[in-house]
Amino acid sequence: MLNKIVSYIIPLMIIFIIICAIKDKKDVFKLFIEGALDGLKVVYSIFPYILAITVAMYVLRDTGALNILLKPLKPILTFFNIPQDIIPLLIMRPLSGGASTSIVMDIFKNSGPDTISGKMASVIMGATETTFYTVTILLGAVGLKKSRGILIAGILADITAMIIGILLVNLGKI
Amino acid sequence: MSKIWCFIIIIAVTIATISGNVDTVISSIMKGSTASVENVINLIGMMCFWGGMFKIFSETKFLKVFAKKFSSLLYLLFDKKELNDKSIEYISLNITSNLLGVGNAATINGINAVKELQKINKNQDRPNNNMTTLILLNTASLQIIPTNMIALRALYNSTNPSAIIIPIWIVTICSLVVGIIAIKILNNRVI
Repeated sequence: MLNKIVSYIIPLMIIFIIICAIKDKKDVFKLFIEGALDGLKVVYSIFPYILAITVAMYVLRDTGALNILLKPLKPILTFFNIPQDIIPLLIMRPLSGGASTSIVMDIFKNSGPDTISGKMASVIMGATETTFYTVTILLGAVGLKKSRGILIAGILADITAMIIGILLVNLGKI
Repeated sequence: MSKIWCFIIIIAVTIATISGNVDTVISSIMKGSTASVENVINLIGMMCFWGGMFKIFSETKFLKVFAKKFSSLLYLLFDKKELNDKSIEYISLNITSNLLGVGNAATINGINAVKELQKINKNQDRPNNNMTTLILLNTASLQIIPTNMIALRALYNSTNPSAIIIPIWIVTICSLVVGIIAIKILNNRVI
C-alpha cells in the first residue's frame, strides 16, 4: 500500500514542477532544454572518472586481487551478512560521486537492483553525499584550509548511514 | 583519490603477475572500459532529463517562497549572533534546494552562503560554528525524493524502483542526527 503511494511521487512531482513554471509564465521548454544540456555536460565531465574507476574495479576483481585482499575480512563480512561487491562502494562513496555511481551501476548490472547487494547499494548511495568533495568546494570558495571537525562529523554520518542501510536490508525491511 | 587509484592498479597487476594470471590484466581492462561506456550511455538520458526538470524547478517562484517560509527554522541549528540577513537568505535557499534535489542551485547558494558568513567571521583563518554546521548539512544527502537513484533502478529493470524511498529517509535521518550531534560536540572542542 505504502509502496503504491510512493510510486506516485515522481509522476506527481513532474506535473507539479511544470504547473508551477506555467503559473510563473516561464518558457518551460527552453528551460528544459538548457537544463538537459547542463546534464549532458555533467555526464561529459564525469565520464573519465567513471572509466578510471570501472577499469580499476574490473582489474581488481578479474585478476583475483580483490579476493586475496578481502580474505582476512571474510569472517567479519559473512558474520554481518555484507556482500563482497558493496565493499568498493563503502570506500569510494565519500571520495567521488562519479566513481560511486559507476560502482552502483556495475552492481545493478551484475547482480540486479532488487538483490541484497543491489538494495544495499541503492540505500547507501541515496542516503549519503560525496563528503570530501562537498567540504573541499565550500571551504575552497572562501580559501579556508582548516576544516575543524567537519570531516570527522561528515564521515561519522556516512558510516552511520552505511551501517543502518546494511542492517535494514539484512533485517528484510526493504 | 589519486593514491587509492594507483594503489588499486599496482596491487592488482602485481598480484596477477605473481599468481600467473597476467592475461587477465589486458582482458579486464578491455571489459572494464567497455562496461564504463555502456554505463555512461545508460546514464546520459536520465541525467539530461532530470537536469532539464530541475532547471525548470529552479526558476519557479515556489522555490523562493518555500525558502522564505523555511528560514525561521534555521535558528534551531545556527547561532543568531553570527548571521546577517543575506546569509540567512542564502542558507535557506541552499537547504531548500538540497531538500528538493536541485543540485546546481544548492551548490551556488551554498558557496554564496559560506562567502557571506566569512565576511562576518571573527577569525578569518578558520570556519566559525555556523559555517561548520552549514557545510555538514551539505555533506548529508537531504534530498527528499532520490530521483536519480529511482531512475537508475528503473533503468536496470527493478520490479519496484521507488521501494527504497522510505528506507533512504530512515537512513538519512539517522545519519543526519549523528552528524549534527558530532559537529555540535566538535564545535566546542576543536578550535
